[in-house]
Amino acid sequence: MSHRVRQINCAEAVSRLYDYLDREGPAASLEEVEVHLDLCRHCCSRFAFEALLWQRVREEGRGEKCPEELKAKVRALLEKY
Amino acid sequence: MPSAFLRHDVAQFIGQSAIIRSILHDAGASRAAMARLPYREQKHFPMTGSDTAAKKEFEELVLPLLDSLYSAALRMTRNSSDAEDLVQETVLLAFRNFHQFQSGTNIKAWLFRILTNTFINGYRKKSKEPERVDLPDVEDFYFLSEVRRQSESASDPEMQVLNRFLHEDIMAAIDRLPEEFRLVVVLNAIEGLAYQEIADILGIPIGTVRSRLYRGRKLLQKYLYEQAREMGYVASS
Repeated sequence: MSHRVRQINCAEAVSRLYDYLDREGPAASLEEVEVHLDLCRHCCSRFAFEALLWQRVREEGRGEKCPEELKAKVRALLEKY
Repeated sequence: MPSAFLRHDVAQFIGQSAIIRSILHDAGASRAAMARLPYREQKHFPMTGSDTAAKKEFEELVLPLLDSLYSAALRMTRNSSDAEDLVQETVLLAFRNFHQFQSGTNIKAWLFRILTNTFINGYRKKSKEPERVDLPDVEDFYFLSEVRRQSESASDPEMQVLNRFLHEDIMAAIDRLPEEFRLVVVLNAIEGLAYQEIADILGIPIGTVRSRLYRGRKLLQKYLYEQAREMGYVASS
């Protein structure tokens, strides 16, 4: 890394947990978290589990399929216009 | 710069961290892809029956998103017949207002705005949700800490519990969330909309989106943990 990144502590890193997982907020702030995770195995493993937990929630939440009858109804609705 | 998760050299961790990295990459990629979704170069007039080109375009953009609209509608209304009505109403409203769809914005965010507002304005009144009782304060990493506290022997007990969850368990936990938290969790954690897009949809400041999401995610962890206890995935003490 060519520039210096401010070092943050565990509490600061944890307060940006979801910003980090969601890739929200200023890039410099996310980079500080990234550097902290490099140095702190404890946070790294906690962040890793959160990422997996939310991936599972996302996959399951997106898992419902629109019933075929509803798709047919929607198409019929559009036909009328 | 490679993800920090990759630089911890514990062999067991590498497999896990590769997954994380791909998750983060996917999230970023899908957001980037959404920003590039086809958009309308020019405004159309409100649609009439003869405007078949615009109708065809509408169908091409919207019909592939029906699964997504339906699953979000189901989480919002928590029952399939309301969800079906909500989806139909949303598509109809979107169709009538297709001329207002702004070029350069993504169709998914636009449809979700209509879906969410239709839900808030119409369907919320029907369900008699009790006034919010005091919600528990949930600590960070609640699920992880609780599972580890309960299981002293196994390695990675949290992954074992997570893997035992069925689709229905996770849906039941989401459905327990009070509406204001459920909405942001559905829009962000499930559908992947950006904080700013959600702020625009709900008409609230981005800071409020961030804090509701934070609260909602912690609550959901508590409910997931309770579900795990109830189903016997974690020993109760």
